[in-house]
Parts: sequence; C-alpha cells; structure tokens
Amino acid sequence: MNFDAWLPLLIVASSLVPGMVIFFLKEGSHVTRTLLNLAGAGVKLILVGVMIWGVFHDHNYETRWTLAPGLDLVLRADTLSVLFVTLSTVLWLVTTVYAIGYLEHSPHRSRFFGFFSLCVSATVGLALAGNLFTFVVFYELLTLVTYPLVAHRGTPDALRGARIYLTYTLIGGALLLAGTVWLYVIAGPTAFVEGGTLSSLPTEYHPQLKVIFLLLMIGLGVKAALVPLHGWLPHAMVAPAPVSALLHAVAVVKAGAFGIVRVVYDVYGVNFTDQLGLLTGLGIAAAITIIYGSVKALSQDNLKKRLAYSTISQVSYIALGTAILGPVGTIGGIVHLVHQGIMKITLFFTAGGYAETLGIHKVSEMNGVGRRMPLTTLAFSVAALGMIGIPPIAGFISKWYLGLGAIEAGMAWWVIPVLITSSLLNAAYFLPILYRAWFCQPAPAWPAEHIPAARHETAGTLLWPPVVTAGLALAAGLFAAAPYSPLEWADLIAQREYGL
Amino acid sequence: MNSALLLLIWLLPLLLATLARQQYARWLLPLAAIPALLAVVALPAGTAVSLPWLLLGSELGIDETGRVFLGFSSLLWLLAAVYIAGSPDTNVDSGRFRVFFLFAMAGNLGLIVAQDMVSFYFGFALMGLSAFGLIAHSLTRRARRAARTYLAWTIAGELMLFTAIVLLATSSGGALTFDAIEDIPRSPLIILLLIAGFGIKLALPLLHWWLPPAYAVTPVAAVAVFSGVMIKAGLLGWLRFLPPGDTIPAGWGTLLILIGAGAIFFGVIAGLRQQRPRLLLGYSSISKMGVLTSGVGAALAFPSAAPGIITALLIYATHHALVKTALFLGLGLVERSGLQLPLLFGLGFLAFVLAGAPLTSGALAKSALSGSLSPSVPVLVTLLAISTLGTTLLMVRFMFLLSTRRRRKIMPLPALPVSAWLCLVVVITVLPFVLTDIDRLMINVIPVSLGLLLGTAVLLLGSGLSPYLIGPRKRAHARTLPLRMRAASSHALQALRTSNDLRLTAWALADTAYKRKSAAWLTWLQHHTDTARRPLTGALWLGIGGWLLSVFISTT
Repeated sequence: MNFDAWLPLLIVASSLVPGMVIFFLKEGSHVTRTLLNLAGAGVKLILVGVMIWGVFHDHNYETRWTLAPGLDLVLRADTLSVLFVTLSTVLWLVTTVYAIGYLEHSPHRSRFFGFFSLCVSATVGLALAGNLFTFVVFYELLTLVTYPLVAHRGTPDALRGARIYLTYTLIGGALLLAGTVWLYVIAGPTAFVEGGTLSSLPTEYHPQLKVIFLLLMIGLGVKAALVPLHGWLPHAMVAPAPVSALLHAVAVVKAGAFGIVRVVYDVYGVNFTDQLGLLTGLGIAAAITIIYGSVKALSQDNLKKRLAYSTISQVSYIALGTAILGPVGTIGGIVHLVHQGIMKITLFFTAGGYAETLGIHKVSEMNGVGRRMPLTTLAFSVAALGMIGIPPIAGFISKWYLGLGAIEAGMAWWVIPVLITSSLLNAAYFLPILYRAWFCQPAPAWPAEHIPAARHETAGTLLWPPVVTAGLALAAGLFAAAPYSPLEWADLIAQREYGL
Repeated sequence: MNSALLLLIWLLPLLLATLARQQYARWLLPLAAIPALLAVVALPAGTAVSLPWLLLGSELGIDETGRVFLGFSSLLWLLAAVYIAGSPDTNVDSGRFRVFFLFAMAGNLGLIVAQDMVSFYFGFALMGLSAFGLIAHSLTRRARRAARTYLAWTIAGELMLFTAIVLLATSSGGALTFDAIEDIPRSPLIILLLIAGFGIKLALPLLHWWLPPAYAVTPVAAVAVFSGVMIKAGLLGWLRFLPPGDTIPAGWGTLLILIGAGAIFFGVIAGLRQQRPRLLLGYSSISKMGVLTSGVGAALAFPSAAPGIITALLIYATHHALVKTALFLGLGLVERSGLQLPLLFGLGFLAFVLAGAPLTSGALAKSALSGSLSPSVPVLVTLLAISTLGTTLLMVRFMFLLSTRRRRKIMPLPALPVSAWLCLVVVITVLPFVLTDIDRLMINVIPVSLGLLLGTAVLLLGSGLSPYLIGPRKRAHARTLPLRMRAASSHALQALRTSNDLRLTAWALADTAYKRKSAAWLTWLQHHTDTARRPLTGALWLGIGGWLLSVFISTT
C-alpha cells in the first residue's frame, strides 16, 4: 500500500498509540506523559497538514479494510472530513496544553490522558469515516471512551452525570445502529458521496427512508443535544473543564452535529431530503432547540451550566444551516461548525481558568474578575461577543450566511426571527456576565484563590490556550474573506455538494 | 499610502486602546484622532481602497459626504480627547473610560469611511456597544440603569439594522457595497427597519427614551461626543442606505417629514420643561435631529431636488455638531469650575449660534436648508423658521438655568480643556465667513428677536405673576443672578492674580459689599427669579409651544 492509503490510518493512530502507552505509565511520570501527549498532537498536526496539501492537489487518501463482504471500514479524506479533522487536531493540541495545566495536582492523570487520547482518536476516526458503517463504529467508540472522562472525578455527582450520559448516548447509539442496518438492508453499503446516493432508490422505499431518517436523526440528535434529547448535557458538566471544552467544542456534541451534516448531505443528499419533506422538520427541531437552550441559559447561575445550555442552543445553528436549502445556508451551517467550536472552547477554557485560579463556579461570584484576570476575561469577552453575533468576531459570519441563506430559500419568515431572538437572548445572558466582570467591584475575597497572582494572572497553561483560541475566533471573523479561511473552505464544500 | 491612512483612521484608536489603561495614556487620546484629521486634509474625495480579505470583503473610502462627516467628527473627537486629557482624574477608573472612548472613536470613524454595508455595521455596532462603557462609567445605580436602557435600545436598533442589511444583500445578490445596493428597490419592511434602526440612534420621538437618562449620568466629554458626533451616525446611515431616487416610494419621504416635524416640536416643548441644562441640550438635539429628519424626508420625496438638500443637510449637521459639542464642553467647564464670566460669554455666544442668530453658522445652516427646500417643500421653510424660534426659546431657558444654578465653589479653569473649548468656539465663529459671504448670513433676525422677546417676557411674567396667582413661596436658596454677574466680573478682573485665596477673598468682599448696597432690590429679584421651580412659567412655555404649533398648522 502506498502512503496515500496509510495516511488516514496514521492520523487516527497518532493519538491512539500514545493513548495506549499512557495507560501503562506510572502516575508520577509527568515528563513522559506530557511528552507523549504533545508529540502525538504535534505529529497529528503535521499529518493533517500533509493531508490538506494533498487534498488541494487532488490526492486521494483512502484506507479500506474489508471486514466482511459488503462491509468495509473506510477512512477517507474529502473536503468535509478535512475540515472537521483540522478543527479537531488544532483544538486537541490547545486542549492538551490546557489539560496539562488544569490537572496539575489531580490524581489518575494517566487514566485521564489515556482516555483523552482515545477520545480524540475516535473523533478523528468518525471525521475521516468514508461510509455510514465506519461512522457508527467510531461514534460508539466515542461514547465508550468519553464515559470515563465524564466520570473522572469519581464523586457521586460525577458518577451520576456519567451514568445519565451513558444512558442517553447508548440508547441513541442503538437507534443509530438500527437505522444504519435498515439502510444497509435497503440500499447496500452507503458510502459518503457528495450529493447523496439514496435519491436513485425507487419510490416505494420512500416511507422507509423517512423512518430511517428519523431514527438516524434521533440517534445523532442525542449527541448533538437537540431538544428533547439534550438532557444529558447539563449533567455532564461535572466533568473537568478540559473535558467539557473538548466535549462541547470538538468531540461529542460536534460529532452529533457532524453526523447530521453527513447524513443529510452525503447519504441522502440535501435535495432529496427536501423532496421527502424532512428538511423542514429538522429545521423546526433546530429552531426549537435554539430558543429553548437560550431561554434555559438565562436562569442558570452556575457558569458551566449556563455555557452548557448555550452550547445546546448554538450547535443547533449547524442543524438549522443544514435544514436551509441552498448553498448559502449550507455554508452558514458548516462554517458555524468551525466557528462555534473555537468560540465555545474559549468560553470553557476561561470558565475552567476561573475555577482553577479563583474557585469561581458561579456567575454571581464573577464580580470584578476582569481586574484580577484581564487577559482571561478579555478572551471570554471576545468569545461571548462572538456568540451574540457582533462583528468582526466569527459568530457574525455564521449568522450572516444563515440569514442570507434563509431568505434565498424562502424560509426567512421564521428563520430570521429565530436568529434575532437568539441573538437577543444570547446578549441577555452573556452581557451581564461581561458587565459583572469588567464593571463591578470584586467581593472582599475570592471563593478559593488557588493560584496567586504572580507575573501572569494565572498559570501559563491555563492562560494562553483561551487567548490563542480567542485570537483564532477573531481572526476567523476578521479575515473570513481571505484565502484559506474556514469560510472559504465551507464555500468549497457547499459547491461540491450542490455540484456547482 | 492612501490605503494605509484609511486603515489607520479606525485602526489606530483600536490599537491605542490596548495601551489605554496606563497612566500616560491620557496623552494618547488626542493622538488617536490625528489620522482621521490628516485624511480629511490630505485625501481627495473619491479615494477608495478595497480590502477583499477583511470581514466579508470591505471597501473603505472617502466620498463627498464622508469627507464632511469625517471633517467635523475627527475635529470634535480630537478636541474632546484633549478635554479629557487635560481634566484631572477622578477616583473612578479613568483607564476603563479611555478604553471605551477609543473604541467608540474607532467605531465612529470606521463607519464614516466604510463603503460597504458590513464594515458600516461593524463600526456602528462597535460605537454603539462602547458607548455603554461610557454611560455606565460612574457606576452609580442611576448610571447603571441608564446604561442598561441605552444598551437594550442600541441592541434592538443594531438587530433591526442587521436584518435590513441581510435583506438588502439578498436582493443585491451578495454585493455589499453602497454603490451596488443603490439601485435596488427597497421593500417596505427594509425601509421600516432602516428608519427605526437609525431612528433609535437619532433619538426620534418614541425611540428616544434612552437619551435623557444617558445624558444625565455620562461624563460630560462623552455626552459632548454623543450629542455632537455619534448621534449623526444615524443621519449618515440614512444617507447611505436610503439614497433618494426611484428605489424608495415618495410616501416614505412624507412620513419622514412628518416624523421630523413631530420631533422638532417634541424636542422644543420637552426641552423647555427641563430643569437640568444637560437634559435641555439633549432635547434640543432631538429637535435638531428632527430638522435633519425632515430634510432627509424632503430629499426622498423630491429626488430631483435631493443633491441640493443633502448638501444643505451636511452644512446643518456640521453646524449642529460643532455647536452642540462646544455647548456641552462649556457646560462641563461650568459644572466643574462654576459659572465664570468667560464661560458665560462663551456659552451665551454659542447659544446665539445654535439658535441661528445672524452672522453665525446657525444662520448659514438655516439659509442653506431653506434655500434648498423652498422650491419643492415651502412648508418646511415655515417649519424651519418655527424651529429657529423654538431653539431661541430653548437657549434663553438654557442661559437662565445656567445663571440660576446653585452656587458652587469657583475653581480655577483647567488650562487644556479651556483651550480646547476656545479653539472650538473660534472655529465656530470663523466657519460661516469661510464658507460664504455676509449677505447670506443676515437672515433669521425676526425669529431670533421674537424668540428673545418671548423668552424674556415669559421669564418676567412667570416670576412676576406667580406670587399673585399661586401665592408667595418660601425663601429659596440665594439665587443671586445679578449678584453673581457682578461678582463674576470683579472676579474676572482679579483673574490675573494666580492665588486661589485672593480670588475667594475678592469674591467674599464683593459679596458682602453688594449685598449691603442693594439688599432690598436683590432679595426681591432673588426671590422672584427662582422660576425654575415655578409651575406658572412652565405653563407659559407650554402655552407658547402650543401657540407655535397652531400657527404652523394654520399656515400650511
């Protein structure tokens, strides 16, 4: 086999192998563990860079492993998978640095980093999945390896949260599997092809296809936290901040959203889905989720819970973009995949930074924190303003394309009010936090100041990751029209999908 | 070179904002406005630079309209920055104030040079949100509430603008520049969103609720910039997004004329009832924005006359911006240092200019606007005359409120803010003579003198009749109008002596001397000039306002 066939597997292995090794490391071997982590992340980054270069030069990267006749495990690089893999890799590197700092004095770090690496392997695997079967395999693997991460702390709360998470995701996974099997029975192996393969099936299968779509959406919607399948997310906030960051920005929730995008675009085909009348239903579910998540976020005092509900709301933008027929709406949904990931991870990094440095877990404890931790709060502010949709931060670009797409698709009369209401609600629950941080006087003592202010406001590994990702969020918006921006990438994907 | 300058106009304030929390940063504030001033002088109209990599593809440039806006905006931001730089630091976080000041400056200047919708929206949002930090600066409960109200209104306006921009971009097929959207027919929804969105910024009646609380609590240099420069962003928005022509049905123009007329009357009547000079000036701004609104409406209703009307509107906007900012800065000096003779004369002169007295820029602005409107909409000329009369009344009340302030300690005038203010006053004085010749400036004699007569009549009547109609009031605090003026003049004579003690001694001496001399007459006048609290005077102002309205309606 040549290099082209090995590359996808190598990318998955670059975090799988270090992960396996880290499991067997003693607890005290910090240096080895850190080295393995960062080396794995670095190697993955380089390999992904090679893949990007290759895809632009029309290389065909595909790893195929035949498990049984008609059942292939395929890892393939097309434009959408490259987008998600790049996002995962870059954010994994930043999160690894952050996690090293965050878990500085915590027990069971080998176990944590082992499962951490496995989690990224699973994510990258499902990003590179070339057919629905491979996708489901890695999707289930993701569920299994994220359970220990959620339960990491071992407290009764953590175990309960992890159990709820597992319940939801296993049931969702079962439904996803059922749908996949049914689809295989009807249509044979469903590879991911731009424009979908199912439109060629005869019409008597259409009712079955609709039910299959519903099953797939429910299975994917659990991870993507569509209402009413979102119940596990607030409980999963007991996980340590790096886990929450990864879960929300890259791994679990994004995997669900990515799955929805894949099924609609590369299995069914967006035009065919519209023909079946399923797109509107998806859009409505997304719209309800957007509003519900934002409304619930208003009433949360716990910072991470507020961010969790905000995630529920924001990830549904991706589903909404998928539900809007037309290239512009598609661009909006796909580019929001990247933008929301960057902005959300910044928010979680800063939330974890506040918790680790000052013991702040609640919004009401955040008075005056902008003076004590200015850079962290600046990163938080940039990400929060991006979520609201203020230019020039990346969130504005996504909302722009979603709005534009909705008008072009003739769905504007309900999408635009949803977008506007969501922006207003986002402003209502983010701006008071910013006001507290920058304008209010701090309480006489912070809840628990673990890291005193030295040369920098907090430990470097807690400070620089959110600053870097906030800078990325700003750059993604400011230079959205520049070459090689996420927007241009999403444009390319949309062009290929609609055959333009 | 040109593109670098265009970028620096809004980039430099943003970059300087990162340094703004340092102690020395107060001197960086004026620096931030320099590129804009340079651009006005050095760049010819029609300079444009295309930045396809910025946001969604940005076009920056300076056209004729933008040149005028940039001219007065950069000058006023510069002078306000000098004012702030020279003001002593209070114990509130002035670093944070400087950060938001620079952000607001960047947004304002950015939206002026923007030639496409998304860059405009970026500047508009940046300016609107930064103003929150300026309003909430003092962190009192009233300031927080005012800032929250302002924020809610601003975000509502920005979201309306966003919706309108997205709708316009759809119709234009994705092209975002103002040139590209010029010929697109605008649906009623788009026009309504644009009118309301920018109307919030312009404080049209019913959309103005954020203005009085905000103007009451913001530090005065920021209020000066709000009222002079930032409010005009709404006007620029209308000029950019609603170009006169076939794209907009003439009915909307008529609607704007009516709204503007409403704003004029509302501003005058509400302003006359105010007891705080700041709020009076704020309502005066609402009234003047009504004039501009009517002008825009006339341009939309009669597109053939539009170029002339828009030029006149630009002159009017420039005049108002310069004078209103100077009034607020002078008011700030009075609030800090007490009413002193140079301030009194300066503010009196500015009041005349705002009212449109002959030989001032107010007269120039009004004559330009009347001239451009008279062929197509003669009723607006009458409206303008009434607006002049109303403004004169407002200014009479303004000077009265200033003079009857509770006496505060007289402090020495801070050098830098006063020089900035005087600089502005000189510019305002000289401007009309630079722009046109004296003949065109000899107008407005009748409305202004009528206003002066009415104003003084109301004051005297209100104070004179009150005891007979309502009953004698308890002796108020010493509201010593003539006493003040006499003390202030002796005070000014002593101004060459630098010692503060000497000044205060002179004041005390003058105080007792004059008090002894004219006790009876003074106490009577003191007692009766307490019209600020007199309901009868208020009623008289309202009556005059109602009479003006009926005159206007009957003549049209």
